[in-house]
Amino acid sequence: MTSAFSISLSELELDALTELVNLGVSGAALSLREMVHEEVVLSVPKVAVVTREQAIATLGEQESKRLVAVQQDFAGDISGRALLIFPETKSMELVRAVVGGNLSLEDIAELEQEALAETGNVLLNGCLGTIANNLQRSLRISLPEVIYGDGAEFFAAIPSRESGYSVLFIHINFAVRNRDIRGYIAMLLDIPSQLALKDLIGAFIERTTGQVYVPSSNVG
Amino acid sequence: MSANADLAEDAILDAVNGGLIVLDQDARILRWNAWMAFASGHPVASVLGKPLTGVFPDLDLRRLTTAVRAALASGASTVISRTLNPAPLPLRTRSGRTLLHDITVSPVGERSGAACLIFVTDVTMATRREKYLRDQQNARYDAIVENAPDVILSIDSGGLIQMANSAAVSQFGYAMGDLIGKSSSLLFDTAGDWSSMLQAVINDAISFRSCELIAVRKDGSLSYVEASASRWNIGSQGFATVILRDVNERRAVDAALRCSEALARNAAIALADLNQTLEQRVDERTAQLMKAEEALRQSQKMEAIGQLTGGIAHDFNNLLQGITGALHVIQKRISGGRIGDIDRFAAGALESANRAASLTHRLLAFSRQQPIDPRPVNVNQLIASIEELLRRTIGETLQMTVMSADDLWLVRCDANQLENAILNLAINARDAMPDGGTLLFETANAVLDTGQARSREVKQGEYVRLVVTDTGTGMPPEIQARIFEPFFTTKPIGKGTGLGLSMIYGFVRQSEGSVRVDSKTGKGTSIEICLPRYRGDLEVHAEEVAGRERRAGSDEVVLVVEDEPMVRVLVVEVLKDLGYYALEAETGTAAIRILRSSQRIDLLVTDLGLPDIGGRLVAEAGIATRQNLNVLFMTGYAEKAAGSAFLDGGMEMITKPFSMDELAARIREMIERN
Amino acid sequence: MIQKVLIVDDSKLARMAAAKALKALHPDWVLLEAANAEEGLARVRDSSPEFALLDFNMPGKDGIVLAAELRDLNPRMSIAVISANHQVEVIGRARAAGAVFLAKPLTERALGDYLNVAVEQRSAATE
Repeated sequence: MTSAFSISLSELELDALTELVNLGVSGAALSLREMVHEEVVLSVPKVAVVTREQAIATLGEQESKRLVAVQQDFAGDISGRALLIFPETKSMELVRAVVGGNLSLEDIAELEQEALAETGNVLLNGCLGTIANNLQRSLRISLPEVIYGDGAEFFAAIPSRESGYSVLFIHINFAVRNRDIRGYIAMLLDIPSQLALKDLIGAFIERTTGQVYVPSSNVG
Repeated sequence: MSANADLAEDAILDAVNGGLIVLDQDARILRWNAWMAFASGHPVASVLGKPLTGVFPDLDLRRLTTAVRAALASGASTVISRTLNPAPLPLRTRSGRTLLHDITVSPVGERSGAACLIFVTDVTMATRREKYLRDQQNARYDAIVENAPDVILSIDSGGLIQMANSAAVSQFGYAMGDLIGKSSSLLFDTAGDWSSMLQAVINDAISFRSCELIAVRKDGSLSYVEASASRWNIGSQGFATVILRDVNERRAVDAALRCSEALARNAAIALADLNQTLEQRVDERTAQLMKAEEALRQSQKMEAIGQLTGGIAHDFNNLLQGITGALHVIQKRISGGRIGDIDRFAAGALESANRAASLTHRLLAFSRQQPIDPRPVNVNQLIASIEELLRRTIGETLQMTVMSADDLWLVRCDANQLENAILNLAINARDAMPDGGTLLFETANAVLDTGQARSREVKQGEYVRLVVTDTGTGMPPEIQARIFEPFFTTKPIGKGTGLGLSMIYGFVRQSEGSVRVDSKTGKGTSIEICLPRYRGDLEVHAEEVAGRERRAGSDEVVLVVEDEPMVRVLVVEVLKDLGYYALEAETGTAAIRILRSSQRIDLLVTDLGLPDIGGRLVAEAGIATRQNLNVLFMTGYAEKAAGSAFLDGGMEMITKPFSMDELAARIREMIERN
Repeated sequence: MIQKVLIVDDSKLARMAAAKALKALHPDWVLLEAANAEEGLARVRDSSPEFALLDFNMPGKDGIVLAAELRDLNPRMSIAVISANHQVEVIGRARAAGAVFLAKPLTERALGDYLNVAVEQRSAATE
């Protein structure tokens, strides 16, 4: 199985994907804002389609510490796994930002798993839901799971997918209550899903611009 | 058939020990199991077909309805836990108490949008048990932590404060809420030390005890604390527990002293004084040297000085040029109001002055008249100490290389004579290379066997071998045969006395060593000196006591501790003039090492403000082992320090700037009184 | 009357979407495009558009900061900030900068309503 294999997106397709992610992350921020009752400040998302190895290398370079991720699988016209990833050291802060108040360290640690799962769930649902709606496709999205580890463990092969997959890698910074919490959203997509995504993006571009869009060659 | 299926399905739903609600595509209730009916108090018949808001009209159901919408619209599954959502639904246990619960919302069916399932789990028991355990633990923990007079913090691996006690609030002046989540490095003035300490604790599980740090309060004021830190874990995450003890009171005394010392480092005034004194001394000495050179032409030592003077005067002029030039610039900058980077020029002047001082030091030491005084000598150190002088002597056209053997043995001879010998050889070599070349100094340990010893007319055994090689004109054999004869010279009249090599020969033989020449016309000359190995230690470590201090007429020994080389040289000069034996130390540590040795010391003259250990501590260390030690403190700021209040018997103080006569009088008085 | 509309958005797709909507609403109007705040400022200096649509979330200067700067440069220009991020704080800041807030993705209807109101306000101000 190879994973050094990914679809190539034209400049406009990548632009459209970034805009989709922007819509998705904004949707997620709105949901998060409902939970914390305070503004969630977002950075401009950086979107790249990379191989599994590149994604692992990127995470390894930027985050030396251990990572924590909330993952949800999705299935439908496009299938794969979405992960919200951030440094383990920031997870306490995220939980504290969400639960607020002067909870003790032990309380926070106890709540951490559940609070992380729920917060990640809100962000990923907001993101995936907005993207699915804009692509006019429906997905079935699983319940969240919290995992600890590093990029290599997070991006390990999904057992049921044999055709290889690449990683849609999204880097965002978000800050809540003046606590700086940076994180990544990554989506693992198998090759058929990537091809489907490319088609759906093409259709999205046509709807958005009102012009016929001729996509570039499929696989690069 | 279908009725049976429905019945079976309902029966299953009712048997589940948890709440089950199925909503249709319009979010209206399609199923409502028995558990739900019981816990909510709403029988199934009363809820079917209604939206959730119809069943619970007074509730804020935004989270739940958003989740339902997400499940129906985009197939998303949602967790709503009691952690972030206390009591999302008004449910009761059988005993009528509040039922704590978690909720999940998931799409139902292959196609999303068809229906969704809400599943409610009872977590009342588990939560109560956790709460009981936690409360019990917290009570014990609070009793300790909250009553502690010391600051107690828990800090995560990102350096953020996760827990703080009340002492932390009063120490730092932040509200509890502001402390939690704050970066701990903002609490310390020495943030670099702090973060490296924290990393060591969390990453390497190294514990610290009583490290002194400077804390910064919210109002910006500083506070001295003693920190202890160790690691603990929650799951895989490491945390540091940090305990800070307020040590401001204890620090107050130290701080006052430090502050007055800082004030007292009124360097500009002191430096100006010193420079003036130094220049005057240098002028005087140079004049004396010039006179001596004329008067004592035939003296081999003075000949060498004659050779040196030209080069040194040149160097001295350059250094003075550097000093006056920089001062001129500084003066102009100050009068022009542009004082931005005068530090650079001041530093330049200072450096030149320092170099001038060290040059003078060498010159003074060299010119001193002393009787033969064989002592253990490290030849490598001796060469290193005159290397600068050698380079100046041979000039820039010649390349000079020193190849020193490691672990060179000691020899026993008169260091001053050996120095003269090396200088003489260097001067001869220079004169043999008018068109440039290379001068090589080599040292090595050598074991001479019977044959080698016989050819050198010495006993067989261990020797230190010093070879000086030039690439100059060389000598024919007939000249080589005569070079050790007194008054033999190849130099024009007035250029050399012819005494140089004969004196080297005399000195080396007196030291039971050998000197040999190897030369060929046009190929250069190599002179080898072998001196017998001395088995023993240096009397005092050579890096701490420069090798130039030799016994004068008297037996009294004075240890001079002063970090400022110019001042040290001057004090040593005074001692020499008085006829005392002087030992020098540049640092407090070096001084203490000497004080703890068996070396005789009659008087300790020390600067109060040494960079490493204060003069006061040096004196105390000395008195600890030598009860009758007399101490003379030199200080530029006696009035500002603790005055003379701390002076015990046998201790006196002299305030800088002092005249050399004044110093001489005090030293003589203290030694003679004893 | 022919009007000039400036769209500042780092996304080409978003600019194309705005162009599509504007063409449907006012085929004769002129659309000026800029991919970032600096280009946007330059377009306003050299072409003085009557309307400006600014994306909020852009690399470098964001749309609300840009709105305030454009307001200083040309107080008569009508400005809208567009963003998918419609948290109340963002909407509040856009209004404080003297801009109308429009949600992303920008619909033809929302753009039409905004332009109609803005045109009326402009003519009322001129009278």
